[in-house]
Amino acid sequence: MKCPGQDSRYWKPGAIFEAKCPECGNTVEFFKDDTTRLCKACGHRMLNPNMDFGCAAYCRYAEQCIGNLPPELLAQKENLLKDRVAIEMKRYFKRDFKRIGHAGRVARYAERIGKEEAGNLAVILSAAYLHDVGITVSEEKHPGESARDHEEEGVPVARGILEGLGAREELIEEVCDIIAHHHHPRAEEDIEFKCVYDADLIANLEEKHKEEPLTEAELERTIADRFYTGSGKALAREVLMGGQA
Amino acid sequence: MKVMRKIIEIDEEKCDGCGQCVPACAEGAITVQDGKARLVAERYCDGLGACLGECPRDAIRIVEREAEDFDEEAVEAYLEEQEKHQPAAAACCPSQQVAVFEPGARFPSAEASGGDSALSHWPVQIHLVPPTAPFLKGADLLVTADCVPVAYGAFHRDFVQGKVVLMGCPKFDDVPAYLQKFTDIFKQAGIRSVTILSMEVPCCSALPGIVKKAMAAAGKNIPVEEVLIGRRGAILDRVQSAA
Repeated sequence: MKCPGQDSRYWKPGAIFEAKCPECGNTVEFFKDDTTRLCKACGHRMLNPNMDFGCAAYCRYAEQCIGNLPPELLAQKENLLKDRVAIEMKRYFKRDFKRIGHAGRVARYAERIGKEEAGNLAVILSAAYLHDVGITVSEEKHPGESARDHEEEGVPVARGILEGLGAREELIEEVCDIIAHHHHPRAEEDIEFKCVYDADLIANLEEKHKEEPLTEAELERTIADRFYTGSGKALAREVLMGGQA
Repeated sequence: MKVMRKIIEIDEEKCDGCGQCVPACAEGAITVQDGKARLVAERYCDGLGACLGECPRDAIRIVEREAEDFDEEAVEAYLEEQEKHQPAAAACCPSQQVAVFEPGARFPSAEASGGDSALSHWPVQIHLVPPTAPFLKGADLLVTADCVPVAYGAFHRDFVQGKVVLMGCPKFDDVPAYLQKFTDIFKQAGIRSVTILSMEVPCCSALPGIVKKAMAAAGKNIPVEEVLIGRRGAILDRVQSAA
């Protein structure tokens, strides 16, 4: 038996409709259960504009279900990934609200910086949420020594989380690379690393500043010397010195 | 300090107060009040959206707005305080919220609601009542099998008045858990008397046994009355044992 939604005997008027190709403006005919159609004029494979792809945006089997994912759906899929990474990070840290709060703040700053610097937000935010996940293992292995080796220890944990969410291998590699040396920049770094680094620095300075306030001159010197991006510097001034960015 | 950040927003139109989001929030930032889920305080919500997937009505979403920053120290203090004062707070589903009804608090119209209720407290299921519930202190306990109120017409008039009701089914429910629960109640609550209502069907006979065993385990000797109810609502047997 066919699903009644897909059985054309039960279709109402409007089940077959025409839509304009977003590339060339040519009219393309859709049946309501088509996920995509090829535009005969320009060859662009366009998504059914009346179909809700909410599930495909996060489902790891979406490719098998609707064929090769169109680029707009891929972008949406990676965009949603970051929200799920946030929840997995939270699950991992359980009731360690201090770490959850720190990761949340780093991600918030990284998103602001990443948008202004036009970095890949899926990489930046996944790395921001997961940058400290190695701390739990590192504290177990070296109790008393604050967070030693947590960069390296974080890589397998982050990989496990991202693989579980069905992230692309390239994205996993990029995120894990950032986590593996997030306190130790190399001579050459890409914009994604710089965004996460600056965001983490703001959150760390903010926490330090709360415990023992730094003078304005000290803050200004740190901001001028240690930040990579212009947006990072501006945001640091806004957060730490109350200035308008 | 207010910052621009992500935080949850609850659509009160959509929310039916089922409470499924409550345990999903590790920070305890959501509570059910007046039949709707509500954010306790901005600073308890980290805005990461762990509660989103739990809402069957799609009533929770994340928005970006000016709000107090997430304050992890405040969360720790809040959770500690909650655990100290409300041992039953871990179970925050509305069906488990402990309540004592004011005497005389009746439905506004007996006719419209189908008659007066003599019930003085909530919850009534044995599973849901914590041994520390305030209404158990010095109470005359009425332990009834689930089927009795349906079979016996004048249940409220003849049995509930002035008593604290605990109900359950010895056939379907977890007997060792009941045993433990009653033992704890008898140990802590200073119960004055117990009335046990069970049905004539054989599986129901376990109920008086559970209560008596628990009483022995708690080392108490409290007066007990056992009443056996027939399937058509007749009282078949009534046995009293003095303390």
